Amino acid sequence: AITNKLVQLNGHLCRQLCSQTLGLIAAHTVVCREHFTPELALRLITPECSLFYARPGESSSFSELPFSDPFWGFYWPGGQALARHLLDNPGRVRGRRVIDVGCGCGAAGIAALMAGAASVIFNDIDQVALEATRLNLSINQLDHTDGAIAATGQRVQFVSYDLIGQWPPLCTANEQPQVMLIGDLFYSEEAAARLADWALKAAAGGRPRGSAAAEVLVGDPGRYYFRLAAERANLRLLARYCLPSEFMYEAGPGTGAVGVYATMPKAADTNGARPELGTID
Amino acid sequence: YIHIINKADMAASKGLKILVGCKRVIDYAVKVRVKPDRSGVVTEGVKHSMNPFDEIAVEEAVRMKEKKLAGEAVAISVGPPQSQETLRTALAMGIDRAIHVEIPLAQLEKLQPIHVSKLLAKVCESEKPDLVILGKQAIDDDCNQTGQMLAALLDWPQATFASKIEPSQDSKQLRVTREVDGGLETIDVSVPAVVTSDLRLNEPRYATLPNIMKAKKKPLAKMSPDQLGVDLQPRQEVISVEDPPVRKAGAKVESVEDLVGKLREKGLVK
Repeated sequence: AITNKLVQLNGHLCRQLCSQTLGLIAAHTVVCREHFTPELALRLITPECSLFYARPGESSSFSELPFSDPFWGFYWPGGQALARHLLDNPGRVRGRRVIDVGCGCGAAGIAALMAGAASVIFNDIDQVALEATRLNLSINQLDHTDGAIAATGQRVQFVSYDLIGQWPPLCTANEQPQVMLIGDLFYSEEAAARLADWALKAAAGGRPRGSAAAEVLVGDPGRYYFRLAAERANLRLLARYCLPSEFMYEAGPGTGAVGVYATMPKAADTNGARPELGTID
Repeated sequence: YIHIINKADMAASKGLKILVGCKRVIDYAVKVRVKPDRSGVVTEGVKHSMNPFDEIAVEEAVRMKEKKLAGEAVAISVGPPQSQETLRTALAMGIDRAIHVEIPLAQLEKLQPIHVSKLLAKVCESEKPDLVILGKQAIDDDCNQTGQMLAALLDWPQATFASKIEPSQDSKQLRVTREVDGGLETIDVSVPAVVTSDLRLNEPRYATLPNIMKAKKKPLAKMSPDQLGVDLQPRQEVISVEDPPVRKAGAKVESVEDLVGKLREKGLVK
């Protein structure tokens, strides 16, 4: 009950502090469908936006960025592949409780809602990302009030705490997520190690008593640190997608080939849904 | 039927390991001024950026990664604390990780290619790259020595003034096209090797905000010359630095007759 109150209070404060942020986000982004999941409209910082060419740190007209590190303004390749996978394989999340970790623009969680998830927790330590996610829900006709999508009743929550490492995260056993989505977070050694350990915990079910295991789905373009973490977390390849170079912001080690990976939960899922085998080419 | 991630899939991008040198220099567009005491040029408060030939070297390493010729690209810079900004630019262009060999300010002005090449050689001992790409020269000192010295210290083949790098016919070596006074020379070198970049090797990409943001998370390791066991004792002493002599104004003539008349005046023509 206390944690629920804290979550509600956080949401309220968020909205008060960040109401101006929505205007700033709208000013610096454009609504974009030019990516791997055109079913989703997303507010992104594209080459049409002046912010795209900003070089923070160098003395120039852009030395004062309106946002610090707007990761939410970009649709990272891992996230694109993960969202694509959910839209093409809705059975993975249909009727299940989902958490989108490091949600950024919220694409993976929004794809989960479109695929029929029962509920989605959007989690990002950047409050602006959560505002961007609210905007993106809106432009995809997923307006929500009182924690639920008006049109469908699917529940949504916005959490800005750093949840990495805790299992179950911040919820009672009933509300515990069944699927964890991680779209493209493995870009530093530290992040990769923490996420790998967390994925192991989630797949194993956390505390010895009571916590059901969750399935962890990861999107990654083959980042250097991901490969080390994947072995550690026992991830298996579900699918590989070839993203056109226009949709990638950088040339990664496996240019264009972005993988979606999953852990295998130890406990049998109450839903009965068994993930299909992917092929490793 | 549970598939553990395929080990081969992980080792997929083996490829060459590339080490790229970057130097922080006064930006090419700045009007350089000599210090009043003629001991050097004014650097304080002056815009600095990555040596343009090093940008080309970084770009080439990133392109080789994109072409799957290279697996890992590491950038290295020998310089003051601000060299980290230069390395961040390299990371933003697509380099995987960076090494900063920090030189204390007192020793910075006396640093010479002989010292830099020794530092790089030491790093090569531990990093074991297959290919080192350096800019052919730095636009501040125009030395054009570090690449050549490094190759000699390591006893590696060198291919300098490269305008093209590709695999050799049998794919066991590198085929490098060099810009020489007489035109273009193409040589095959075995790896490991040192290559220095020339102007026409490529056109470097402009690092945009998404890349710059992600670069902040890439690893940057720091080292000191002491750790590497290299002595920075200067071998040269700068006596003075001066402006080039001011060119005397010429005279404009209106016609060929005028020109011949002037030349006769000066006794240059009979």
